[in-house]
Amino acid sequence: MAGSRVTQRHLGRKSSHRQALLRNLVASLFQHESITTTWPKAKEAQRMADKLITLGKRNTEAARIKAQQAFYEPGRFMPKLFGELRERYLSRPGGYTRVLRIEPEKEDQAPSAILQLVDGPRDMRFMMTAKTIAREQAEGLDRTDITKRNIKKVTTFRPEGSASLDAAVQEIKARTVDVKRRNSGIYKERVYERRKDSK
Amino acid sequence: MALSLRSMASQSILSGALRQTTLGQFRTASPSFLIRGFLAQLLPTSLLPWISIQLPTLGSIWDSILKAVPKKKTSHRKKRQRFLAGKALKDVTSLNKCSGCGNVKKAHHLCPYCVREIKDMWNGRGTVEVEAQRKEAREEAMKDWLTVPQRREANRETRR
Ligand SMILES: [Zn+2]
Repeated sequence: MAGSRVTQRHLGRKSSHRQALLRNLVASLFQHESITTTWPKAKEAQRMADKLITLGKRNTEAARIKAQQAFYEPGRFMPKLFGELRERYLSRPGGYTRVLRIEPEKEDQAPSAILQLVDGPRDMRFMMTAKTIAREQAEGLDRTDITKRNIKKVTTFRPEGSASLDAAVQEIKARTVDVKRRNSGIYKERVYERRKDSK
Repeated sequence: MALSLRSMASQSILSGALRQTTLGQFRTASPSFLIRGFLAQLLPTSLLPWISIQLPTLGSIWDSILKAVPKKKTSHRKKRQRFLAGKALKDVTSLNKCSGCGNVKKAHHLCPYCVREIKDMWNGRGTVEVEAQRKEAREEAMKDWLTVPQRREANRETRR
């Protein structure tokens, strides 16, 4: 109805297509712990993922039935949701996922983001904080307030939080990065068709 | 507009003359025209009731006058300039320094270099040693591919 509050981004799709997209995105998130997509898609998938993890933590028969409806392959993701993820977030009061803006992934310059499960093995904020600490130690810089807050964020609910952060810092320090490869990270994925006469 | 003028004229002024001069056509068309054509030969033209000269009305005169139109096709450049007016790229001023590597990056966005490095870490790539190994393996595979015709030749030799 015209004028009613929009409760969801339409993502340029009809309802069934959108629902299928979000289910697939959430399944990919649970499989890989971290996914890169456009920012609006990430925000919508985040809502769905947070709700599913809440169901996982509730762990009742009704919650199981509700969660099962969200997956195309329940046999693959239900054990993880009601096992690993449930245990990981049992003490955390909400906020199980994180959306971080990144530079556009594709050459159409669509705003992109990383959607990830907090405190998982692919926690980008955890790694960025470790990288910041590594640089601090290497260059003898002072610790900023933002870094202090980030350290608190990434270690409070993570088991052996401080120890694993230190381990990540040591790992980063031990690496000799291939600079040429790293610098190629800013190239965009092709979206538009190449002209046949262009190089 | 020129067309409409011509058709209008043919309907009103020329119609009488045309019908008179092209009676031969009508004669072959149908029996009724044949009779009419016969009559036309007998009677003087001014007495024929179906020859009437229509004078153009005021409205149809306005229709036949040319109105203002563009003199030239708008060029591609001018068209694009018009459509893209006010859509120029804006300067990005919200920049700060990456805490992980010190490069300049967009505020509230992760640094693309650091993101690449961390993703490489997860995927077991990006260090000098690993990339050198991969390059070596790639070159080895390339060498193999380059020797395919030679090997094919060798196989043929052994079969003989
Ligand atoms: Zn950086």
